[in-house]
Amino acid sequence: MNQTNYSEQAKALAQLVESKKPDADRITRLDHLDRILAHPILGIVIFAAIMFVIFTISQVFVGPTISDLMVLGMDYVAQAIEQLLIALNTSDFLSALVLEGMIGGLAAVMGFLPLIMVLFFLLQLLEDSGYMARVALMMDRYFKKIGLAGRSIIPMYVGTACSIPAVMAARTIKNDRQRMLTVMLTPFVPCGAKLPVIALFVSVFFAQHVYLTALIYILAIGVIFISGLLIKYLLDAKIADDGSQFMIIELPQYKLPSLKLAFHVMLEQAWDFTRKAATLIVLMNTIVWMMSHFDFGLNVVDNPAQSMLYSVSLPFAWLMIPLGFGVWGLAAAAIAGFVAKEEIIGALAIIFVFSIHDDFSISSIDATRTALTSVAGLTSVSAFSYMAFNLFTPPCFAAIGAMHAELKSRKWTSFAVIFQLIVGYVMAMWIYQIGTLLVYRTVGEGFVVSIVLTVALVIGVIAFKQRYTLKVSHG
Amino acid sequence: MGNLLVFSIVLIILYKIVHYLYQQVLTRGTLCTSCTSCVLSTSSTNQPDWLRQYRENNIVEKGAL
Repeated sequence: MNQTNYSEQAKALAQLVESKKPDADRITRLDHLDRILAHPILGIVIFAAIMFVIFTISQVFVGPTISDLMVLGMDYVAQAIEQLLIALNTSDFLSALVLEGMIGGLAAVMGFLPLIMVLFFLLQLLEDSGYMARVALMMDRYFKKIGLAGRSIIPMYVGTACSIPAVMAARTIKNDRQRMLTVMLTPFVPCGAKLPVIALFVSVFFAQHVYLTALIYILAIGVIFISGLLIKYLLDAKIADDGSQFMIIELPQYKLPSLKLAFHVMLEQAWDFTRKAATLIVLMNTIVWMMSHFDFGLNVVDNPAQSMLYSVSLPFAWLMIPLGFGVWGLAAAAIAGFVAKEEIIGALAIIFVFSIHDDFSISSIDATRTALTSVAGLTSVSAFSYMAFNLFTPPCFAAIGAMHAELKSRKWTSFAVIFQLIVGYVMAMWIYQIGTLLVYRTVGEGFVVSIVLTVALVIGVIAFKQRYTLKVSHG
Repeated sequence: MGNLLVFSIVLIILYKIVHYLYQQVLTRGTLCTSCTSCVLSTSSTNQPDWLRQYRENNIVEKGAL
């Protein structure tokens, strides 16, 4: 009897409910758009073009215009503080500490805030439109070749803002191998902290070639691929592959991006940057300034070559001779960059820019160019090498800590850090040596050393592979 | 007098900064001040045991931290 009731109820419902199946065979205009935007080759070209446009707008047109206004404002405030210090009969030493160490270094970094704000505004528009999901799909086929998941693009996209949440975002990747590789490779993506470094060097040395800013990100993708292949070659026997390299991702509908959301994200990024600059960067700038004006006996020195900073950074400067920037000040700035990459700007300003100013003023592009070329002795090639070194060596200590938290192994963290150091060092070395040969038709400093190091690297990679394979095969 | 005043202000500013960074290290387990909504702030898994114990013994937690 119950079955009869159910049958009657089912018939009654069938008359009331209209089921409509989606027409899966129908190709919409958006499908046509996806076929173009996610095309294996055309998609890459379109992605590169879009990123070029974004970087050109943020780094060439809108960003620098707002930045100039901001620098004018900061210059006004700094000069007001200078007048106040004079009125208080403050000593020259203390005035220099405040104006150069604390305010000047901070202002040098804050000058790049507008560029970052505009960039993240545009990137948020791009993401909100639904396009970035297509980029993830497109990159999947390429990432598989180096043992990564297509999902790895998501941490790498997050890495354009900061490497720490990017490394932590790798936690969503279930495959152990893919997750480890993603954690090791994501820091190669230029984060928001590295952007001021890129912007500074491109504006000073490559003002006529502003496309280099976008090229840096393309170069980073290339570094990721080559590094991924190298790690796969070195450790393939160790990291087991359970074959789960598929990616399932929802492609959202294309839509007009929300200006309100993009504005909110931009302000959030600006606040994060400002908070970091006003705390960590000010502290680091003060430390750098103090170390460049005191010797180990805590005596004030007029000649920076007698300072603590000189003594500490000189050995590192020797190591950087084959890279084209064997200058203590550049080495000091690079070391300071391991606390925060923005600190490179502040340290360069303190060590080089303010040293050539008789009257204090916020550094301008011309003053920075003079400082980095005449005082630091950088050429275009060595400047690009310095930029590559700072971009592709390990990011800040906090990011290294995040890598350790995700890798959960000191051995793998050490491997990742050493690997990144070697990649950054070798890349900078090759850029300088090959660039000097091609551009200046001469050999660079430390050419013989660079040849020896390259040969040693190749031998080391082969030896590591053989030893590691032997170790694994013997259990 | 001017030197003393400026020096005092500089010291206060530096102390405030160091104190803020110290609080960030205690909260996030690492020296990072980047993100407003930080996953590290809400996750204790990234902190070493000694830091977690110190926080439990000494820091008055706000909310879910």
